[in-house]
Amino acid sequence: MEIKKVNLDRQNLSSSYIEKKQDFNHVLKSAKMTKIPTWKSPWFYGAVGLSSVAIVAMVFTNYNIKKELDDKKATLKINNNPSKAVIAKNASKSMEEAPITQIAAAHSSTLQKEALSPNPSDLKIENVTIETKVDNAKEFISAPLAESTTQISKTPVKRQIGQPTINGIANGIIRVDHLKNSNLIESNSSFEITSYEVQYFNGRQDVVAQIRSNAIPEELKDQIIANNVGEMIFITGIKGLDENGKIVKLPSINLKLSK
Amino acid sequence: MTVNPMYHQTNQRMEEELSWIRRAQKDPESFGPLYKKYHEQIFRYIYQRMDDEEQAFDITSQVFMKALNNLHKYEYRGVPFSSWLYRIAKSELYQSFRDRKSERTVNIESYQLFEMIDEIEEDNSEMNKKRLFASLAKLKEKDMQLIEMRFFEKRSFKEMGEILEITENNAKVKTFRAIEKLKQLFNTKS
Repeated sequence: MEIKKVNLDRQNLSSSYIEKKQDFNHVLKSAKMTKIPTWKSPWFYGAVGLSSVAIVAMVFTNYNIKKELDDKKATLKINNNPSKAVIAKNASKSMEEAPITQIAAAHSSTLQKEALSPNPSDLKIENVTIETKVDNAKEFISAPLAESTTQISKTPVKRQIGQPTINGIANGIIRVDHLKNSNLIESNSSFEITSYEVQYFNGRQDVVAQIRSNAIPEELKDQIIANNVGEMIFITGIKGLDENGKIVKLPSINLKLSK
Repeated sequence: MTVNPMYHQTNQRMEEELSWIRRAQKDPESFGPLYKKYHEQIFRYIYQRMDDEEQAFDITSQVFMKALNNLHKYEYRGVPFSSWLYRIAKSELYQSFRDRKSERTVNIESYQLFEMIDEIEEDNSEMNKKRLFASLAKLKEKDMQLIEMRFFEKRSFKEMGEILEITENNAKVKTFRAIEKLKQLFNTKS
């Protein structure tokens, strides 16, 4: 800072003059007016900020819990089919680190074997862990299935009621020409399929196509055939109308495309 | 002219002052006695460093307003309440210079110039008085404020340390260096 001016012998102000200029009431009023309102204080902002974060965290946690419960319910429904239990037993450890295509391939091949020659002794397990990997999400569900000494002699159900298919195939290998000739996702007569989602590789990345019909568009078939030979194609979120016109969620189709 | 005759206070007066502060912390209207006691010396401290009288009164009001608003933060450290007020005054004053609401001015009286000439061990002539006047105008602000406090306002090094938020010893050293710089400016001119 620069000194602008130096005054020599400036006239002094008397103490009485300075005293006359005192105005405590003005100072008191101004002090009250310049006080920071509560809503402007750092404490207020801190409290409001923390509450907001807490609310957001709570909502997010509740959403996740709800989602997890829904997924558990869906998986437990699948577990009611004993053939799937065997798949889970065989695949539980190896699936942990495997990429999704390998998991699905293992899943479908085991399912096929099981459908051909079910072995009830494989069902003698206490607990089965089914682990599903979708992108980075990891779900862990444990479901008690049977007592260790119980012999289950019931024949596995090969196909669920209302199981949608493409060219009659629900899970397993489908040939390119069969896919090419299929124009619809079919179900038994009691269900009318209204929408579904297909996950496939489009040449650059994995994409999910949402179709609001039971038809398989030609463009979609071409993309799948061009880029997915030897790969898994997952058709999920299949919804249909039952006899009463009520929307129902139908089981997924998992196909491996081969020449 | 002595600006702060009330700096050196007896223990009894210090305790009385502390009781006013405690009361004012609970009820702002009880700040009145402190305002009356220190208004003049705070005004003189501000007016000494600027030219505009009305601006000086305004800044003085600002100082007491801030003191009142921040009184709950005040902690007694065994020194007069005025030291705390001076620190606020210094801050408000320099804010006003930064905002260009007022200009930094040095106000000297003739007798103070003669005292300064003695301090720098020169002859007390009219010629030297003019040279010293010119040299003071060239001093840097941080040196000027030390000379102002020590020689024009007659403050103790202890009080200077309290206002400038430095130790008493540091205030001594800095003032000595400021005088040396003034001597250099004085001799350069000659």
